Amino acid sequence: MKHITTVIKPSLKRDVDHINCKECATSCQSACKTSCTVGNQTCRN
Amino acid sequence: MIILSDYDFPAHVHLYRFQDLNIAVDVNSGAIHVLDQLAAEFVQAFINLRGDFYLAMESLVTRYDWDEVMEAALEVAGLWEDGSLFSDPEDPEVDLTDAPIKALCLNVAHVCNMKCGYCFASQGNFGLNPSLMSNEVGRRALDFLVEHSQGVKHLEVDFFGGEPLLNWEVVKDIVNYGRQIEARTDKIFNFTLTTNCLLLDEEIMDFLIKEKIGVILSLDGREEVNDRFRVLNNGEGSYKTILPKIHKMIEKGPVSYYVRGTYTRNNLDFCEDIRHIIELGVDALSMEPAVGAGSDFAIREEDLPQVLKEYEKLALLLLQYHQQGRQVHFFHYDLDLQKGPCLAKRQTGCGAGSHYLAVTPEGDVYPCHQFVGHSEYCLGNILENRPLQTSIRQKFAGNTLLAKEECRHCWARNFCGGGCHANNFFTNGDIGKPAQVACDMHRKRVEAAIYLDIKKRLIP
Repeated sequence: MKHITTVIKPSLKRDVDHINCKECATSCQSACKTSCTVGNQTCRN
Repeated sequence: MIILSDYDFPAHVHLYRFQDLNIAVDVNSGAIHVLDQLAAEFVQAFINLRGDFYLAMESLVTRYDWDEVMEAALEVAGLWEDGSLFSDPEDPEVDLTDAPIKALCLNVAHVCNMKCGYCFASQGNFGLNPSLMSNEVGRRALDFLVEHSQGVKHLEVDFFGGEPLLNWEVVKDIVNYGRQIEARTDKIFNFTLTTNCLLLDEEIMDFLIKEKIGVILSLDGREEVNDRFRVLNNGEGSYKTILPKIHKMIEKGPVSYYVRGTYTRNNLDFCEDIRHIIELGVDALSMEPAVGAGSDFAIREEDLPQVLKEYEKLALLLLQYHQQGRQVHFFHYDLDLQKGPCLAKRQTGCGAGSHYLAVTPEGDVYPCHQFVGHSEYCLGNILENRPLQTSIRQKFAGNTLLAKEECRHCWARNFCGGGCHANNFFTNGDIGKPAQVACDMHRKRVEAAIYLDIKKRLIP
């Protein structure tokens, strides 16, 4: 493409085999303790 | 031809300019695109004209060549067809009512050896009686976690306070007990410890290393900034005392670490504090706005212009380090854009009150560490063989992203997970009403993080 570069392809997981397994880290446990970011958590699947 | 007259553009596509890039985030698919000026103007016109493709093209012909406009428009159409721009929401409803519990914040000490002026824990005791957790309560907390974590293998326990190192023997006992549980079950404990560093010594550091316990080390940045709020019990600043301990801890190579700072409205130039911490040799850090709505030190709406600029500066600062070959991890900018969490996780955020709970030294259970001391939110006590209060758990379980009108229409929803229940409560008196100052900061952080990620991908 000439005008648009796709940097990240569609990536949000809806796959029922992997969804909501709860094995990922709890966002507030590590570094923040006072706010919330979930986008920086990595899926273990 | 695309016509999206009923599409909720602000909720589903975020087009923004950040420094030298035009960036489009397709919220529902997670796709991210960089656009040249023509394409950006076309997408903006398409949004402004309520999704009318031809009108959007026509609006550009006085400034651009028609063939070029057509080319950009066809690229947009292609992205729409493959589901990576203007995609539709397919959010699954997630029921957390009976969610397994997978994480505990153990307040092992409701006492502290510092008197930080901005402490949300009221200098360590959360407004309750000063106390230390016993071995019995600590062990029972782990049993409770195992009993209520059906189907989940990785469990998390953070030692918190007050200052957890004031109850070090109990911390060690709980860790050892956890290892015994691991040996007879399929559970794995990920322990972390949040400390002001004052009591860190060789023995403690070696234990933390041996047991692979992640550490969160508190430091606010420049000496004068740190020492304004982070003071010892005698009123003196803590910087000179804790800095050698932080260096020593990091040198020993913990399994994971963050240096965690707090900024207030007294240091709105907090990017300089982050720079200072990085220059001390720190590669993983977090810098959080002080909580305490209405206080002298918490960030106010009128501070936002400067705060948002600082977050932009921070992206450029981290990019500079990247270009110099140094990888610095800033907690909120470390978005995993390609392999991030599933939609269910994104809808449920931190999970406080459902899969994440806090336990006091006496065994009282709260939705999270920030609610400790607010008796109306006490869910029960782990020493009592009674189920936790279902009404409070249901309230938190139901407070997902989709339950909040503002969040449903916010483009950043899949990055913040609906925000912090406690922040909402302490700002608005309602866990379901987003704290707007925090939301504005969060949106800016996401914009900056995406920009930084893109630039890193473009720079070898």
